[in-house]
Amino acid sequence: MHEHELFLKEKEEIDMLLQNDCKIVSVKENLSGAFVSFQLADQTDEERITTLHLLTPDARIYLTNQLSTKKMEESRT
Amino acid sequence: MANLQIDFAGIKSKNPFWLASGPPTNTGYQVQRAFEAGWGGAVWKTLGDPVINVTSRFSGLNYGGQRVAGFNNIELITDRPLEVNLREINETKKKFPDHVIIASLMVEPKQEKWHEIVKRVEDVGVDGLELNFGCPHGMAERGMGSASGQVPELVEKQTYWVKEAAETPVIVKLTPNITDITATAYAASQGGADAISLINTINSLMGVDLDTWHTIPNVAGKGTHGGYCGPAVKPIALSMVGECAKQPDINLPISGIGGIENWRDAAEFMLMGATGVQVCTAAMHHGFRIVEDMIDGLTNYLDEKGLDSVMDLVGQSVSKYMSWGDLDLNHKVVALINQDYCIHCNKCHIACEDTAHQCIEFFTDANGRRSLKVREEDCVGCNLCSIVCPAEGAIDMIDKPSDISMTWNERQRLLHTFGG
Repeated sequence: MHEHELFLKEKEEIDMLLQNDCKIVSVKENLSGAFVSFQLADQTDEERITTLHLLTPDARIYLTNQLSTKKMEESRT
Repeated sequence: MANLQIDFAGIKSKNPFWLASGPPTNTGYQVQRAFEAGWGGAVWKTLGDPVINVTSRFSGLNYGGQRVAGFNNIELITDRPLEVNLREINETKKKFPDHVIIASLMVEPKQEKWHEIVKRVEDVGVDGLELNFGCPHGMAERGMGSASGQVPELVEKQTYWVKEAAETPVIVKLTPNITDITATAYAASQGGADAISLINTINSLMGVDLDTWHTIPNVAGKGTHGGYCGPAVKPIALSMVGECAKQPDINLPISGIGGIENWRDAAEFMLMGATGVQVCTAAMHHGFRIVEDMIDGLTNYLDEKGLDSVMDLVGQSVSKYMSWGDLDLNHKVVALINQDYCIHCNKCHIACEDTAHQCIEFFTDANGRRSLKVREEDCVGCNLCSIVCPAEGAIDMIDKPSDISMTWNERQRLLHTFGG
């Protein structure tokens, strides 16, 4: 698989979770890439957390772009 | 017509082009010929206790058909008595009062030695002093040159001693043979320097003769490390000038040195913060008259840019030269192969396939010809294909603007709020 295809797959997973009312609760980066934990916006139960493992650099910067955009939107409201 | 005059630490020069201390400025005869050719100033070959030189002394690195892409020397400071040099400096200054003469100095790291030589050279009318804390060979074994210049405390102390005695501006010439040149630049400023000049030559061994196994250059079959300069060192020098220029604690005028061959090189150094430049290897390769093209070229460039003075160039690019962490991660550049100019050598494909990101692939065009195209989505914009391409215009790097800017430092701050 070309890296771009892998990125598109990872981007789709991020988008799907964000569109389904999930919020990002933590991002941990290590030698293996980025581990992004999502939780339904109205959930507090830690067991409901879904974690995405992002491998591609494009997905990791896409993720932070989404976080930045969201943060800017929140600061406006 | 743009004004090429510079004011370097209070030293007025008719243009920013000075000969650097070295073989071209060994005698009054040479410096006077250089001034007649148009050089604005000259840094006299380093004065100190006269040495005895060896022979041979120089070697050149030829690369890809270009002679003297790099140059190495094991020549030391002047081998002539101080009185002879001072007499010629005095004569030259009288004949060329509007040209700048800087005395390059190197003595043992003792206060009385510095005081003595400063007084004697200033008595003959030099416009400034340049402290040679840079030469990596020969004199360093005697505790001078780069041996002094690699120790910030010695740079500061010796600069201070010189300033105790000096009445003309003091320029400290820095060695690049150090991990962080801003440390010694800062030491020079703490010692009271009026300016810094950089870079001196880089420690080097030019090669080994595969027939005789002698190192190059050799002296009766034996060799030693020398100082490397010429066009090959320009990127190193430019970076070090930029590092010093952007450091607010240093805040000294800079004389840029290192691989400057033409007006373009000079303009680059000035954009990176140098107020003037010094040239040595290019003059040794092509002669003093290269300064004519340098003057014409720089004047025309300034006129085209609509600038009245060459001083308007100084430091204009410094703020664009920053830490990696402050660069935009979202900025994207991709390669585009221009089929009209491609000569089908396949070098871009090989480079990308073997050593980059495997995104240049073959396709068959409408005429049935096998050609190459970039798979844009996988191109990381590294530039390698355009660097190795021998056909001018065959590969363009195209900007793909992003709506969002995000630097590494901003990203890390953002992730920190998410426990990253």
